[in-house]
Amino acid sequence: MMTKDKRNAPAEELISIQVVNAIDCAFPTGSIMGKWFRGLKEKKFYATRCPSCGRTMTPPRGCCALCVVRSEEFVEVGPKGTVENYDIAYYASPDPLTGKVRSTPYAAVFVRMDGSDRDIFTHAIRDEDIPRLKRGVRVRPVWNEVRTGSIEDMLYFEIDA
Amino acid sequence: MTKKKNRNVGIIGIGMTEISSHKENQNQPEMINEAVRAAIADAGITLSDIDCVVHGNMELFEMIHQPDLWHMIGTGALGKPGFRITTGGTTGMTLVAAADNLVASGMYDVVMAIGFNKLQEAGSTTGGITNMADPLWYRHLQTGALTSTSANLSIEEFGEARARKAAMKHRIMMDKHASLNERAHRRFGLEYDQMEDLMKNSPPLIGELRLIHMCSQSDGACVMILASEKKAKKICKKPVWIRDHIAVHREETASNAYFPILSETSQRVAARKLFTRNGIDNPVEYFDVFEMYDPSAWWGIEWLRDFFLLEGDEAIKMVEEGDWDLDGKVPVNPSGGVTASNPISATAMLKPAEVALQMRGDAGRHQLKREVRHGLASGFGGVMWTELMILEKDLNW
Repeated sequence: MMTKDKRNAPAEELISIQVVNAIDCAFPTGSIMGKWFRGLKEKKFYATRCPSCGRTMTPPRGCCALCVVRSEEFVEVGPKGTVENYDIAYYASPDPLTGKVRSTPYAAVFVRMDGSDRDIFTHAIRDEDIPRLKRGVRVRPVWNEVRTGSIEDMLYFEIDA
Repeated sequence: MTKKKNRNVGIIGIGMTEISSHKENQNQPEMINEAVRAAIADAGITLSDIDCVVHGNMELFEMIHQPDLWHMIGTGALGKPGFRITTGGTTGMTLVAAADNLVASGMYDVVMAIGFNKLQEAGSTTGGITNMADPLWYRHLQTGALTSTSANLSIEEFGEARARKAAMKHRIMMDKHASLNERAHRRFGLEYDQMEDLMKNSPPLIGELRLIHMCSQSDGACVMILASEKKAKKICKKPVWIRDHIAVHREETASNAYFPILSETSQRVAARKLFTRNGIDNPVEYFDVFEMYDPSAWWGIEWLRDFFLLEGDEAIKMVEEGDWDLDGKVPVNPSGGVTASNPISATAMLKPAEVALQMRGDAGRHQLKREVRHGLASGFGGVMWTELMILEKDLNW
């Protein structure tokens, strides 16, 4: 079942060559996610509602994966929400596209937006709020002054108290 | 829903490399070739007996596309029909499931499945996994498969002390199993009296998830050869039979996976459906071994409950009482599991491979003392996809 490579190559022939890849990408949003990003620019969160089961999807999807029907009716959710779970990162993993490494600790919060029955939206939480983070805590969004229609239009959530 | 096989399928050959953190003495085709040669030798056949080759890995780790083409010199697939499969963490078991389907359908008599990853080559496995997140809104936050969300929920349900202890006990048990397995990557020689120390001093990665809880980043390849009943009986003295398997896909975003929006996890759905259609009422009684794809100790203790359709604290109690140990009610991961060895796209194939070796009595130092007749193996991948497979020693179900 197991064999060992018995060839003993001289060490100077065992070479590793290092390559750093830098790849320029552009991702079209499609019209449904386009509405979402335009909404962020106007400090609004748009979800879609499934005409069959009635659930809202945040960010919006053009089809409910549970019912397999088109869902193109938009509803506004939030702006506040409830933290259902969270991840506090102490280990700085590099951004796979840019190689940039975040400063730690930082945290992601899994938020059920007001008006959303079960779908979860994830964003960062303000670093200063990390010590008070727990399930059930209420949060509100903090917006970037310059908004261009990207996820960075929202800086992070902060605890709403 | 019932599922009937057109014909029975047996595992007739198993080959694997040693699993390690670095394989600087081999390139990819050379590493794969080592496992291919071992599987063919194990089956006692030649390359010309193989009708079809299925090949798979997660490309984003090595950053090389169509590796099946340039691996030809290692796989021996030149001129043979073939498929390439890449389903994330589940790849290894999807390869076996596909090979099983290809043989059961009558399309091919003998199919070789090859799963591998050489995670050392791209350097950052977590960075690679993060690449699966939606680039428009989630990639800036995801940290690979590192998450504390499961731990948070276990702690809320069972209390901090009990949940932390159960996760660490599971982890040390896995290390004890791995220490007996000469092919396992990480073998620390941990003892149960180190629990308190590890809970405090292992470096924290994310929330309650510490370095010691998390799976390794490994290099390795696994190969399995499957054959129709007729061929299997002719070629092989101890074929192991693939009874049934199921794949269950989860929600459409990673956010929903980390806070399940459905009442059942994909692990539980897979187990419920698979056991129901096979008439297995009591999986704890039925199975003699379970090889689980447990990417972290926290997910391990959570999923044992789901895979065995247990309720409340039943699974954690079984952790506490040693029921998942090598001599327990259901031995879990005699191989040492994924926290010990994780060459990702070989990982989910190592699960049924280990079950089959246990059934044959060829597992080596970690061979179970009991007779292994009924085995279960699972695969896992983002976003919470589950593969679950039943293997049988005898063709009598």
